[in-house]
This record gives sequence, C-alpha cells and structure tokens, in this order.
Amino acid sequence: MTPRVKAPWSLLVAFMSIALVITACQSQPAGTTASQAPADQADPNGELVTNMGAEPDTIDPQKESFVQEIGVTMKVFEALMTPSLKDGKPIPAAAKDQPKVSSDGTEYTYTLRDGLKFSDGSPVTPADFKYGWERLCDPTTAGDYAFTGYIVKGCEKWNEMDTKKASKADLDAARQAFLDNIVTTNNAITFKLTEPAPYFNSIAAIWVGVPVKKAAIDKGGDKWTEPATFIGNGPFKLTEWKHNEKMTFERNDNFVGHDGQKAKLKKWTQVMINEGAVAFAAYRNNELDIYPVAAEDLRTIQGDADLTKQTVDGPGSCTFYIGFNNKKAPFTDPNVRVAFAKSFDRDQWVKDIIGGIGKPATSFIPPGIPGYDAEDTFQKFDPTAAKAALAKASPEATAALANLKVTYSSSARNKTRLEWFQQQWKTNLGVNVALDPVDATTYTQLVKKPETLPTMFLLGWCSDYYDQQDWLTTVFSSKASSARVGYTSKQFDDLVFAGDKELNPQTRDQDYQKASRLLSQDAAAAFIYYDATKLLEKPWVKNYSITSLGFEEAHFTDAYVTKKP
Amino acid sequence: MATITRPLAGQERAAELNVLVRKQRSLWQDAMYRLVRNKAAMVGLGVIILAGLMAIFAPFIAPYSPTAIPNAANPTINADPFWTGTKYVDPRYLFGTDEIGRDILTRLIYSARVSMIIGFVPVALIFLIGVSVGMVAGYAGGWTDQLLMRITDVVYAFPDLLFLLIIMATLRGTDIGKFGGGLPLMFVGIAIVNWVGMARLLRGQVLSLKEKEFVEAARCVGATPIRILVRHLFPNAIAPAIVAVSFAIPSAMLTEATLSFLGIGVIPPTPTWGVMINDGFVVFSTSPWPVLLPAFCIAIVMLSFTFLGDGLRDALDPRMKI
Amino acid sequence: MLSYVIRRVLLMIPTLFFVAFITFVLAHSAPGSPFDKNQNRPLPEATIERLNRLYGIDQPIQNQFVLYLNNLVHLDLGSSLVKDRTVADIIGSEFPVSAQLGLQALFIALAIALPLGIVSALKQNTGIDYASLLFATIGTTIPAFVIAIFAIFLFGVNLRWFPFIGWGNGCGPLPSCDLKRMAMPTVILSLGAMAFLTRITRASMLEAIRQDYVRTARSKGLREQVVIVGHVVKNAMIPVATIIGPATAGLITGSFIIEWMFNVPGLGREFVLSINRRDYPLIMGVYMLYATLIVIANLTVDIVYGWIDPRIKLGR
Repeated sequence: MTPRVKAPWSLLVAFMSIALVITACQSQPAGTTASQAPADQADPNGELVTNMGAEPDTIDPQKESFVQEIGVTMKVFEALMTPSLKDGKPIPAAAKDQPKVSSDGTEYTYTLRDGLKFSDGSPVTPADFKYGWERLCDPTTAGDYAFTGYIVKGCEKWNEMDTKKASKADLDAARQAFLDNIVTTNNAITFKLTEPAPYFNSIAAIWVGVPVKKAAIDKGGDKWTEPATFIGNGPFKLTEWKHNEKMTFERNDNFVGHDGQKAKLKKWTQVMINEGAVAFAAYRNNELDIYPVAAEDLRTIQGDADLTKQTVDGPGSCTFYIGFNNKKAPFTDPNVRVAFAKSFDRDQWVKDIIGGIGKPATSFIPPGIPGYDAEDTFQKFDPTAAKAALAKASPEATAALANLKVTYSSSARNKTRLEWFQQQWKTNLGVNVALDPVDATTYTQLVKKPETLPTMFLLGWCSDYYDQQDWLTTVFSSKASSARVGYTSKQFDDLVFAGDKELNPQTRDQDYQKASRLLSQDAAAAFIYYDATKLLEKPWVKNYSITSLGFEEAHFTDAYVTKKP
Repeated sequence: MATITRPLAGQERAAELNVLVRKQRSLWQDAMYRLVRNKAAMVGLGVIILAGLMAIFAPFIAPYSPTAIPNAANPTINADPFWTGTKYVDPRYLFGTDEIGRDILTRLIYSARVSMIIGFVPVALIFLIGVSVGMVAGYAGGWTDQLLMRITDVVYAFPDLLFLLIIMATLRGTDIGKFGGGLPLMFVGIAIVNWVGMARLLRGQVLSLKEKEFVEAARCVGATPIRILVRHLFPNAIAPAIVAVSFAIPSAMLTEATLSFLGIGVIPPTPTWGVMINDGFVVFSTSPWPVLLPAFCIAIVMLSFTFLGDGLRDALDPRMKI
Repeated sequence: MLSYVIRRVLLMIPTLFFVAFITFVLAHSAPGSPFDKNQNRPLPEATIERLNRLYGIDQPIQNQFVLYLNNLVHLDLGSSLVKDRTVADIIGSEFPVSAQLGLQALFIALAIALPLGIVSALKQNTGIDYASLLFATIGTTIPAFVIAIFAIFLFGVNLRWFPFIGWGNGCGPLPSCDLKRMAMPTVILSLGAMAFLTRITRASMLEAIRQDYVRTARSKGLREQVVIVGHVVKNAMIPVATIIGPATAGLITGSFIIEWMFNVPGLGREFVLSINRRDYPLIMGVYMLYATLIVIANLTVDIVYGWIDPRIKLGR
C-alpha cells in the first residue's frame, strides 16, 4: 500500500487505481466497434500506456496476490482456461476444449491445443503446466495463493510442511506424493482432486497454475522474473522492467489465441504512479491513455465536455458490508442483525457518499459473478420493518445496544462514512452507535482473528475467481479461510458444501442461491454496496473495458489503439 | 539580566563619555532596540502573534467544528471560496468546503493550533536538551565532554527526516503514538533528531567563554560550577541559541507539514495545514484552493519566523553567519 | 592529521552500530506484519505463520538483530520481505537514480546560489540584494511538495512544457538524457538548497569584505576586480565549500518527497513505501546506507575544513 496509510475504503480507491482493467465488448457502444471507419482502424504499431499504481512486489505467477501483479501474469501467460467475458464462466484458452471430468467428479483432464509455443519459440508441454502447479504447492515458494491449490490431492500436506524442521526425506516424499496426483501425457494433463469440485475449472482459469519454463527459472534463479528469463506463453512478452518506473510489454508473435487472434497492440506500457491526483494529471497531459476515476474527480469531469465523453462505466469486483460479530451481544440475536441491515438508505449512500461509483447491495455476490441474485432484496432499506425487528429482540440484546460501537480504520474519509451510518442508525432505529477509529494496521489485525473481532466493523470482499464458492464458502462457511463475522449456521454450511461438490450445474446454482438468500435473511452481515469502475479512456483507445475480477485477464488480444491525432 | 560587558580599563573613559551622551544600555536592551527598528522582523512578529491568538481563540472565531461535517446527512462537498464566483460557491462556507464537506475556513483556523504547538513545544525541548548537554559538555570537558560528544555523533549520523518517518510510521499505531492524537510522539521525534545542532553550538560558545576573565573572576570568588554555568555562562552563550531557535521553529513546522502530507503525521481528523494540503491534493484538479489556502498559511507563518529570525540575528550579533 | 583521520574513521564503526541498533528496534516495534497486505482479502493465519517462520521473524528480536549484524558484516543486506528482490539489488538499481537526482540538484543550486549570493553581497542593500534575499527566504518557506503540486499542474497539465512522471532513461551518454523529464524534479529539489546556499554565500562574502587583508589589498592599489576575485571570493568560499558535503548528503537522502511526487524510481520513494509495509530488511538497508553517507559527509567537512583553513586545529 502507499504511505498515505490506506484504510479499507481508501484502500479500495487505491485498489481501483491499481486495478488496471481491460477490454470487453459489453460496455462499448455498439456503434463504435461496428463502424469500421478508417479512424477506427487499429494502428499496427499502436502503444497503450496505462497506470499500475504501485510496483508489483513480485510477478512470479506462483507467488503473487495483488491485482497489478496478476495483470502482468495474465498478459504474459495463458492458463488452461480463461473466464468468458460474457458471464465469467471458464472457457478454453491453452486447453483445446472443456476438461474431461471423471464420473465421480474428482479427476479433471485438459488437452492442450496443438502448436502452443513460449515467447522464445520453444513448445509448451503439459510438463510446463505441471511445473507451475509444483511451484504453487512447494512450501519453499511460499506463495500467497498456495491455498487455491489445496483442492489437488497432496498439495495441502506438502505446502504446510515446515521446511526448516522437516527432514529432506519427508519433504521429498510429500512432494512426490503430490506430483503423483498430476498426470501428464504428451498433450494432456490430469489433476486428481481431494473431492468433487466443479469450481476447479475456474481455478484453472486464473493465474496460479500457468505454465512456467523450468529451464528459464533455473537460469534466472532469484531474478528469473526479469525480462531475460520471464518467458511465458501469453499474448505479450515483458521486454523491459525499469523498477519503480515502468514495465513494457510487446506483442508475442509466437502466441496465437484460441480464437486465432494475436494481440492487436504492438506495445503496452504500464507506468507506476502512486498518487491518484498525479495519474489524473498525467492522463490529461496525454501521458496515460486510461485513468480510473475517483469520486473526487467527478466535478472536474462533469465540467469538461471532452472528459465527459471519455468516461466509460464498468463493473466492480468487491462487495462492502458492515460486519457484525455474530458471537457477541447484541448481534447474537438475528433480530438485531436484521434491524441493522434494513436500517440505512443504500441509494442515498451511493449517491452522496461514494459519488455514484457503485451500486446498492442487498446480497453478497456482486453483479458479474455467477450467483448474483437481483431478486434477493430482503435487506432493502425499510425503517418500519427495521424498528419492528428491533422490537422483537431479546432483553439481553436490547441491553447491549446501549454501548454499541463501530470499529473502523482511521481516516478522515472513513470517519465521514461512519458518521453517515451513525446518523442513519440514530434516525431509523433510535440507536446511538459510538465511533471507534483504530490505526489501519491494527484494524487489519483485529478483523483477522475471531478472538479480537470487533462488535461492528467495515469490511469488503473481492473476487479471486468466477465462482460462488469463492464467495459463500470462503467467507461465511465454518471452513472460511479467515475469520470474517463469526457466523455459523448448519443449514448454510450444508448448502454450500453440497454446492461445492455438486456436479449438476443447475442444482449447484440452486444450492448456492438458497445459501446466499439464507445469508441475507440471517443478516450475517449488512451488505452496503458493490463497487464499480469508472474509467476515462482516450478516444484512440478501442475495445478496452472492464471485467469483474478487478485485474486484467486474458483476451488481451482485443484492445487496440487507432493512430493518435 | 546580568550585565555582560565589563568595561576594560582603557575603555572606561569612553564609557563615561557615553553616559554623558545617552543612557547606558545593556547588550540586551541594545539588541531589543535594534530589533524593534527592524520593520520586517516586527511584521513577522505581528503575524506570529496574530496566528497565536487565532490558535488560542479558535473555538470563538471559527464558524464550525473542525472535525465534524456541518449538515452531515446532506453535506456540501467541494464548495468553492466566495471570491471565485463559481456556481459551487456556498454562502455558508466562505472559504469553501473540502472533499467531504468540512468548512475550510474553520480548519485553517484550527490548524494554526497544531502548527503553533509543533513550532514551540519540540523547539522548547530542543532548547532544553541542547543547551544543557552543550553547556555541561563544554564546561566540564574531559570524559563527560567525550561521552556527550560521542552521543551527539551518533545522533548526527541519523538521516533526520527519514528517522522521523520511521518513528512516526512505526509508533503511530501503538498506544504511545495514539496518545494525544500523535502530537507528543511528533514532539519527541522532532526533538530527538534536532537537539544535536543546539548542543554543539552551545558547547562551542562555552568553550570560548570559559577562559574569559569574568568566568575566572567568578571562580576566584568561590562560585560553584552550577552558579557559574547558570549565572555567568548561560546569559553570555545564549544569544546564538536564540537565533537558532527562531530558525528551528519554522523548520519543525515544515517537518510536520511534510509528514502530514505523506499521511504519517498528526492522526486524523485533527486538522493541520499539512493534512489539509494532503486532503486538497486529491481534489486539486477540481479546485486549487484546498491546497492553495493552507499552503499560503504555511508560507506566511514560515516567512514571518524567518524575518523574525533574521532580525534577531542582526540585533544580537550582526556578524553571525546565515 | 593522518592519525586524526584514522581515529575518526574508526569512530564511525560504533556510531553506525548504534544507528543500526536503534533503527532495528524501532522498525520491529511497529504493530503489523509485512504479510498484512490486503485488508479485503487477508492471507490465512496459517500462511502468515509459515511466512514468518520462513523469514525468521518469529524469532526473538535480539536473535534477529545479531543475525542481521552478522550478515551485515559479511555485506549481506538480506532479501526484501514483500518484494521478490534482494535489498542489494534494489539499492543497486535505485540508489544511482537518487544520487543522480541529488547531484544534479546540487549542481543547479550552486550554479545559481553562488553568483546570486556574491552579487547580492557586493550590492548590499540595493534592489538586487533585496530581491535575492526574498528569493532565498521564499525558497525555504514554501514546502517542496506544494511547489511540486503547482508545477505539475502549471507546467505539466496546463502549459504542457514538461512531462512529469518517471525518470526517463536516466543519463548514460548525454544525448539520450531525458532532460525535459528530469527538469521539474531536479529544479524543485534544488530550491531549498539553493536558498540556503545563497544566504551562506552572501553572509560569508559580507564577512570577507570587512576583513583587514581586503583593506590591505585595496590600499596596495590592486584593481577592484582582483581584490574581489582573488581575496574576497576566495576566502568567502571556505565556509561554502565545507557545507557542500552535508548539502549533498542532505539532497540525496532528502529527495523522497520529490521522488514521491514525480514518480522518480529512486531509493527515497522505495524507503517511504517500505516503512509502511514493514519491510524490515529494506528499511534497514536503505537507512544504513544513508547513515553511512551522512557520517562520511560530516567527516569530510572536518577534514576539508582543516585542509583549506590551516588556522583550524584538528582533534578534540
């Protein structure tokens, strides 16, 4: 994060400026792409300049976890699958087709397309994919997203070993046990899973298991992510990395996409500007082609006809909510939770507080992610119902309302936001909630552990991959990877665990939908809003827009620029 | 004040003649006389006093609360100051509002508090530590001097602003850091990295003074070392320290502004000019005023201190450097 | 003289040891961990514990410090905890940028401050004198980041005279210099030093003009130009020369805010980022490098002073 210590909300803003997002056809006006006037023709030597915010900590696909890092990997590598731009469901990328799934749902076999090549011209083999997975699960890699690989048999055990204490023999045995569960032939790769997991296909579409060249990594050692040895199979290759200043990507001529396309851009430069205001200035100075708008910039944009024309709206990737500690009075009582969830005017929030860049949320999964449920409006603003629910609360819970406080990461902006809530709760529920600001780092610590979880707090969740499992199971089930709200519900657990394993897509969606609605009705948390992205795009940028994962993903072949005036 | 000029034998007549012409003035009165005649210094002093009054009486002058948003349910954000005449002017907020709707005029007034406190408290600490260490080291000499000077060597080796960055960034989140909105931490931080210059200055002064006749005389009549230090050396060595103080104050204010601009200074929502510039920077493309106004305040106050410092230097010792 | 230099050089070792000790303790006393990267998507607790173990930050702090010193003696600065690079590598690629920025700024500051200071002293109490004094005063009273904000919007966005992000290609062979891109950060960084140097030059010129040897030179019938250049300026430069060392160290170590504003890929910006991310090895590495620079600069002042002005006796 940046030294201007970021709070979750401002972190979101930072996030957005970092989130270098890319093309999709959905938000382009139909006319722009259809009319092939000469001015719209792609410049074969076109260069696009975008901002990635902070420098990536690492661009090692098996170590990284931040959006701008993932954006690099997704340009330089191609995974087996890729999320469809239409609905986010995985479609084939490096794989020839959808995977063959064994009847019990625990074995996934992907066949590679013919003639795949790395940017250095060498062929891409299933063994390169396997090596990527080996690095993901290897405890010495210590990657942030290793846990996404735990669904493959043997990964969790090997990854959780203590490399300093365990004997080499034990480590080797665990490694071998894991490797035995990934079987390669000359053009196919099979993964054996710990249990049926339809969402595995979505994991195959993200960056964690992209193929890496062992020879290049061995040659580059600690510095293999420098351009000379950072060799991928994606539409672009990294040609220059000036640390803390910029990265330059050029079209990889050895790449041919599943649809037969190559990248239309010749060059893609990503600069590293950490101050949003400076990035906006750079955009206006034509040093940047794309700029993600912050609420503060809206007035300038509205006052400028050119800028207004250059605005493009796109989906976000996160849901923000008021978390209740479900294990602490008064939020042990579902009536109180429901009352709070229905007690604030989300439309006003979006209009006044976040400048309209976002959408009111009454359920957990945001639009653009499978499982978004527009009909789930249980939590909608309803002061009468809220008061009624509060009236039904148990005496203990009512007593605990007297000294309620909401904890947040201290910043002026957060304070405004919480003051707005304070006002809403006072007006609509008649409850006085005190504000409890804490330092940003402390806040992160507090909300991580169940023992220290505050009574009420602000939090968000952003998508890793396009699947309900990444939302419902990962955040609210009893198997959640990190403490979120202390919500436990047998009924909810049963539904999501059934969904995780369910092979029939319809039944699976239904299980998740039931779980999601249950979550809203139990008011495990009060959902506030889904974020959104508003971009400024220079007129010469075409086919560039945004997807729901926040980071760039495949389909880099679509974006292009026309000749700049 | 002790008189520090003991007329030497040869000059006695001249001094007597002087008495005939005008009233004998001590060096301090003399300095005061010169200072008062320095227009720039007096203007500077005036501005400083004004800013001080503004800081003290902030609650009575400011139209709103510095931290709360007037009309929080429906805030007026980014209103322009009245002189711009745009459609975003809101007569309720003369200097406009910031990006979350707080009154800028109010925050400017309250910011004077922090700036004044940041100017004076750490500098008082610097003065206290620097003067005591410097005088003791200079007077005692020997191993005391060696030890104290080695300590100053260590502190001198710290890249000071970077050290402050570490202190502020790391301790802000702890209980020590949060105490008093982060102000005491900043006081101590600024003092720790800056007392060394003062100590060296005083040590040099004392070293040259302690061989002078009036010190020897005091020693002869049996004055204790403490008495010599306090009654004889201190008043004579203090002039350059006062000048140094007048330059240390604006530099401490600048440090605060820089840290606050980077977001690791005073803990929000306490307003300071640096914090306001930080906030205003975000909306700079919309309106330059949220940056311009606090920047103007910083510049004016800093300028005033510099003028006063120059005046003091000229008045106390016209030959002093810088 | 030689023994004095040797003694001072040896004294650097305990000095730097204490700097390392204090900084290390402070940096590690901060709450939070380098692995708390993202509030909205925190890493599982087990992962963090594993990372702590891997990087040895689960050890007691004294063990960590001893280990750090041991590595330091072997010139091993360790690896960054959040970046996938070694500290030596980061310093190696980013220090030259900060150094270049600092030296360029020093050069500009001297090029303007010296003539300005000399002229204003020679024309004391005239319009030129007041103008340059005002300039020198304002230069120290407006914070650099404020000047940077206005410069970006005025010269960057409105006038489009200068690009203002990044550092371009640095300067290998001169024609490849991206001078336009370097212009704003360099000039703005130099302003503070420029103002300070102008004041020093003016003051020491005024001091030199009043000296007896100048009167002697004049009474010998030397031409005024010879007196000014050969006697006044020459002697007035002594105090100026001695502060060039610390001024350089100050410019190099103090450029972080300029680097921050203009996205200059220097070590200062990296340092600011590393503090907030609790990247202990990087904090320590940069800090120790800068402390060493400052110690050396302070040492050179004393030595140079003794060398230029033989009246000063070295050794305390």
